[in-house]
Amino acid sequence: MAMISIPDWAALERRGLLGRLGFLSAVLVFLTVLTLPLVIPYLWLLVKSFTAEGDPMAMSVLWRSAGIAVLGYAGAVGLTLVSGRAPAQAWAVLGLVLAGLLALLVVPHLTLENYRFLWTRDIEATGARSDMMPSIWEAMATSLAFALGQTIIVTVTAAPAAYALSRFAFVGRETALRGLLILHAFPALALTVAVFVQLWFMGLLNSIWGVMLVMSALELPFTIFVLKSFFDAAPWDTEMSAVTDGATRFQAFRMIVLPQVLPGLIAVATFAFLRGWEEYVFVQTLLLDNETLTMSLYLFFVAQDSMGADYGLIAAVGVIYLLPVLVLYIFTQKYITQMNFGGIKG
Amino acid sequence: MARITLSDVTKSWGETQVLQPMSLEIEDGEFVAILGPSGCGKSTTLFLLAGLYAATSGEIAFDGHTVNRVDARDRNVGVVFQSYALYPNLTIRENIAFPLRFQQVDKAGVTQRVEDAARQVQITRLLERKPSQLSGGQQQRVALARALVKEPNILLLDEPLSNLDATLRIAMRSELKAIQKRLGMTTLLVTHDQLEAITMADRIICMNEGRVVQIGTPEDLYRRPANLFVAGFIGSPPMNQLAAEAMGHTLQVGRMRLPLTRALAGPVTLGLRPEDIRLGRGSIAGRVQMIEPLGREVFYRLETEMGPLHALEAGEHPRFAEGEALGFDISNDHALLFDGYGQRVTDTALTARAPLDA
Repeated sequence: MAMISIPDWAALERRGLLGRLGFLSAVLVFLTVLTLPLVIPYLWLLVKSFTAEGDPMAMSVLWRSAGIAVLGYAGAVGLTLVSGRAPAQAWAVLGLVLAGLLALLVVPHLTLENYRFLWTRDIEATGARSDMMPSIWEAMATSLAFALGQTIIVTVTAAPAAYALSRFAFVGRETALRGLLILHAFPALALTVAVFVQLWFMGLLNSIWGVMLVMSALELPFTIFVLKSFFDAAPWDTEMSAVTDGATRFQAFRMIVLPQVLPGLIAVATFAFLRGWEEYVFVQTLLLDNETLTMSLYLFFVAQDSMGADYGLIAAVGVIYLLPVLVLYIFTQKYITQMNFGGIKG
Repeated sequence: MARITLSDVTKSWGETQVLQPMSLEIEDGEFVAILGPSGCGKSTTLFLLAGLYAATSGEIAFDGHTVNRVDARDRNVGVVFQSYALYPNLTIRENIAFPLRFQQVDKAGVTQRVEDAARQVQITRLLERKPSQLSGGQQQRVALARALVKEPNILLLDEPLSNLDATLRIAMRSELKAIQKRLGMTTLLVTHDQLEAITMADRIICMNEGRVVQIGTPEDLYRRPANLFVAGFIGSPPMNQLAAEAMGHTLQVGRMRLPLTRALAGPVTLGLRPEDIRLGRGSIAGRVQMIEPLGREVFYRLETEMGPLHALEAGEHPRFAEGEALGFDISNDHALLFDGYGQRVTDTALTARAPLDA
């Protein structure tokens, strides 16, 4: 009778464990290396905005914060790896250590000086008439109104368009869908001169409303396309059922279809808002004088100082510019992750 | 409650006519099934009645009143869709109450009627959940409750059981029938499952390729099918169809010759239900090729003088072995003849006499 070789289960187990650990660490290292260049500028921005310009400690504060960040990252990865789900105490200890290091090495060298634009218009401390200087709050309000206005125009226009493209088999539907894709693919900047002339004819040049309309028009193809896939996912049957239940077509749309595409609406509205919030080129081109200032223009204004760039100030403005985006993302990220890009389907 | 009348109703999508002129009458309180293969126009008929599609021509009437121009929302029909079409954004309670939002029903009345409907289909415990938290069978019950809550004139069911597993389907079949009988509502069931139609409906409308092939009781369709399509579609295992040649009073089937009551000529088809072949007592010779025990019945594949035949016999154990030669007899009362166009020949039958040349 042939010998039945008994596998060395212990050795196989070790091999499997090593293999899994090797794979996991390779993935971790790869992702870390990839993320580093993305994270560093934000760290720089944050630290820079809180250190005084010309402070000899500025550089070392930057290094120290980077070190603490690395420590925090390594600690978090370590805790996750070692015990799978580390107890809350371990995380608390890590948090305390990091907070302690920050308090000892970084916090004493920080200043709010760079954020002076929040409470005074006279950011250069020249004593000149401060009402001549632009205010960050006005810029913030303008940007907010601009982005919100664009969001409303885009969603209110795109929703019925996407609904029609998703539900009705009209002549030229395929062409319309393809057209949308091409429109989205066009570089918008190529249109700048044409848009300029058109706005001049319409009397909307140098008006924030004009820029808002232009931006909305540019944003629409993409939004319609994304929303269409959300409408596609809301079944016809539910709408038909609502009609047999006594609803009008519009009631069925409002009470049954719209709630089903709400995540999609929130996602595209978020994107429309962000596009409006970050826009620089068109506001710069189409707003001729500096009466109306958006946040992007304000940042540009701060950076263009004849006395030389004040990096601390620029960084602080940058941080303030980022904050609303961050807040928005926290509230809408769960909707944005549901987004998918439907193809041209029958 | 309503009587439904269709007069020459057709439906076309552009150039393609999906429904040939269709006329039929459904009595008040009747349970009628529309049976046919997919794409035969049965769901189209249902949606025409619901008002979701507009008829291209012809007249649809409820209780004698033409409703062609009445909107779906005003026809007061309860529809259960194949996909159930529950509203995912609403709870089960809100789903069932949805039709009442468009009627003048006060709050207490809504609660009362929703709970009554939920009790009918036994889902009172699920009222606060969302549709996504329910199993297929439960969703189906919710869809039924939502259709019943508005006390519709007509209940339209579009393949309501096709997404359920086999056990649940059998249970829901009798339950649905019981609810229909209790409420006495005119009900139209669309299905491709002949067993569903036979077990539930008072009458069956059999459709194929956009036209009505036969209307009758389940027994009519089973025992007296109008043509080969109905004969083949109804019954499981399906009817044996043997190519034959009629020569006057004689029918040539394979190597067999059988006497006819009336003269007939040309190629015909002989239809024999598997259970009408009586094994082990007769003069027709055959041989068992294969045996499939089905539990309470045994299914035989036979090679016979007449050609290949399928036979079904009650009993748990096969009485014959594979390869065994046997003699059998056919029940002349139930043998069917179809002419060259596939239509059943009604005035001619096999005689009860012993076969010729036996």
